[in-house]
Amino acid sequence: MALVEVQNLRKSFRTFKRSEGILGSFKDLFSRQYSTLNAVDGISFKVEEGELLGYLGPNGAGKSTSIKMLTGILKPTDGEITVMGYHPFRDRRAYTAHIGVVFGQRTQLWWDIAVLESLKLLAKIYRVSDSEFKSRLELLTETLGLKDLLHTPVRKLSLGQRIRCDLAGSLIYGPKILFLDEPTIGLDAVGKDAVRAFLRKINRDLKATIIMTTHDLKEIEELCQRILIIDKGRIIYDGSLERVRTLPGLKRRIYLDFAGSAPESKLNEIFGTRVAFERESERRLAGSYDPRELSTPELVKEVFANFDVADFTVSEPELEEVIMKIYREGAGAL
Amino acid sequence: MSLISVYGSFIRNAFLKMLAYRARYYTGIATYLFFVAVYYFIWQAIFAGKPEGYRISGYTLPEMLTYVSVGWIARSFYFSNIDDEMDDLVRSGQISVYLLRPVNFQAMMIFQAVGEALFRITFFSLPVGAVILLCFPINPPPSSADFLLFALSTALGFLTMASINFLVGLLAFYFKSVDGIMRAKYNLINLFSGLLLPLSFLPDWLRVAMEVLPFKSIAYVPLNFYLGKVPPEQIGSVLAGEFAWAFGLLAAGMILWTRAASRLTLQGG
Repeated sequence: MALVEVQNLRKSFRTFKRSEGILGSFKDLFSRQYSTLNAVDGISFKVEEGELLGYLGPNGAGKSTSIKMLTGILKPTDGEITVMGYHPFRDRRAYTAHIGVVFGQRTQLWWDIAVLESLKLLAKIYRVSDSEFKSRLELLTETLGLKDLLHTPVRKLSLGQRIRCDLAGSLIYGPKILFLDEPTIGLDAVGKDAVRAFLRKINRDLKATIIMTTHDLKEIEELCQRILIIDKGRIIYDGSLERVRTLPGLKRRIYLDFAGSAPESKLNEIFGTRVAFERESERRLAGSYDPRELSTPELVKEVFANFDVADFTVSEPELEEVIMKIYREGAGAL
Repeated sequence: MSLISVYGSFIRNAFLKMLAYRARYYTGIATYLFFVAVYYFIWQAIFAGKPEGYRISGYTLPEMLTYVSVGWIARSFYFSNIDDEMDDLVRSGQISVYLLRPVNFQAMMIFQAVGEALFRITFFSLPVGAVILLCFPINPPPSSADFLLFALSTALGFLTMASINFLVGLLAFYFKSVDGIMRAKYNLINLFSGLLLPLSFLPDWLRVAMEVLPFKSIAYVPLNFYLGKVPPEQIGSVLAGEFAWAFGLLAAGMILWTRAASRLTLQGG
């Protein structure tokens, strides 16, 4: 059995439709109109032990709601979740002892007391033995660079410091699976790097299973073997990162450097609509083309036959572009 | 054993948290002194011109002044704002974090309130009590047994208050705003607990209702134990009533919690 199994999971919220104007407000006092919003609309997937799964989707797609159901915070409206044999909501108290959770936007540490006190309290709550606590704390202090932060109250930490402390808090009791909801949101490049390096390390060395949501595609590229894309409550992509790049209709880019001034108009004449050229600098042009319409060798051959080219490079489509296309066009893009 | 250490750590943490904000309490001390002074002078005015030993609804002036002063000192201990905290947690969404912990949520909230109460008893009730004792004539309880009954009864009053607050806090899962309900509760409890005046002052129909309802455990019953006004043959049944209400309300909270939690809707963030 897979570590995480999700079957037809649904969550609907009932929202209250407000009528307009003063008259409408009066009307609402007596009869309210509700509408149902399916935040998560029948998703199914499995996660195996040791996987590092990226969970993507535009804002409001249902990512956070799914994570909240997976972690037992919200009760699913319908469908089935089993994680390590537990039903997260029903068995919450037993279940939460085995999972670590970090929400980038809120802390699980106690705001007013020193980080070390928070960690100690967590160790008590999760019944971690003293010796285990000591060795884990040592490891986490070292890998997350917490040495100078342990005696500071959480409210005095910067965002990056706080996230690192929160990661320590979620791992101090040795959970088998880690859920991260936008763990690097708002961090600077250095902070992001530190968190990513840490996640890679615990996934590789400690075989921790990680499920994370993020908007940062670089993060996905660096960390995740598999991604799940959700939109309007439904999963529209579940597979490897590699496969997503070979989506039909994705454009490739060629960069051409010329010895002299770049002959933009002449290139446009030859290739017409097949390649869209943009001037990057005096001597450099970038052109994007659909490789199914015009193969790369053909394009290169034609360029070399007509022009004196100093250098050229061809690039794969950027992940960002891929994801944007999927967000924009929904499942149809796949 | 480990269960004690888990929930014991909530007490410790709440204590530490309060310690971080202790300055807030120095202003609180002044407020309490002010309240006691106001009621002190009101009762003196009411009893003015009456012969010594004159009783209103069963209380002499010295008893009344003791009732009011000890009542406010005790309040600084049994007071809790679990409802307010729960409202905040639901509204800010921080409740998610609490739900991720493998502990009983109600027990956690109540043990945190215990930690806060222990903080207040050391840094608030005792100093305020000492100052009030110096400023106003307060009678000691007739016997040490009366004091012990008062202490036990106040502890049950704390539990009753905490359980009521937990139930009010659960409303935050159902309504967008429970501010109004909390304010109403605050005033009703001040009156029905007997903090503002002994329940024997209330009109008969209300007094009978209050005899049955749990609010009297919070102030009226403990203060009458303090004054030695509970007839010995009734002590057992009065305490049993307090126990029953405190644990009954606790159980109600536990049952309703499961329902409220499944209603939780946290959109976004």
